[in-house]
Amino acid sequence: MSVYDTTIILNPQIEEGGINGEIKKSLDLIDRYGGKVINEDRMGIRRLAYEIQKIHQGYYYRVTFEGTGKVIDELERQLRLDEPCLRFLTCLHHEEKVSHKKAEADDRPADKPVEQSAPAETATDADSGEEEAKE
Amino acid sequence: MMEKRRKRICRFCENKINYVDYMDERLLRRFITERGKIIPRRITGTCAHHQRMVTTAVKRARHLAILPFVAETYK
Repeated sequence: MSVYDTTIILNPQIEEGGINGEIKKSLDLIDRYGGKVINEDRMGIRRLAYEIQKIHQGYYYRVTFEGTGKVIDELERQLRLDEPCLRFLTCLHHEEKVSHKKAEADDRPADKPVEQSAPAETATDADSGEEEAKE
Repeated sequence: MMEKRRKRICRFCENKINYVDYMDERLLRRFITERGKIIPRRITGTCAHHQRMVTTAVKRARHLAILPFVAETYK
């Protein structure tokens, strides 16, 4: 049995009870197939970097659980069929992960240019170096 | 011919970080260009081991719509 993280993106336009219902469905499924839920992280609604099924925001939820491969198969099978579920990703758990507050993520729109860009800095250095050499 | 640059230390090795979280948008943004492409390690100074971690994290973040595959650039 290994520890896994599954991150799920749900459609935020379903009502609040609907999101809780979806989450409960996944947790029940994990229990039913012999898994053990270790931690949950409800990250809330945040802006998507690109639209999925014409939707621009998603409700992010991450569950950490211990289980066999069978648990993952069943969970992913259910998520694939579920309509409110837009995306999911399962990977091995690593201890140094931290839970994320949605406040940081929601502040910046996805299409804003990156503030620092390493190639620009490097280009500036190179340019100034060449200018000094010419002088 | 490239001038000799000062040796750049991998920021992960310096801070003894062993894992790059795919949900950490702030950190991962530093390793992609404005277009959304992953920056090569000869520019960021990352070591090969951590660059592979960064690449996996960026690709996972793209799948989860935390980072874009291609970012719109302003003209």
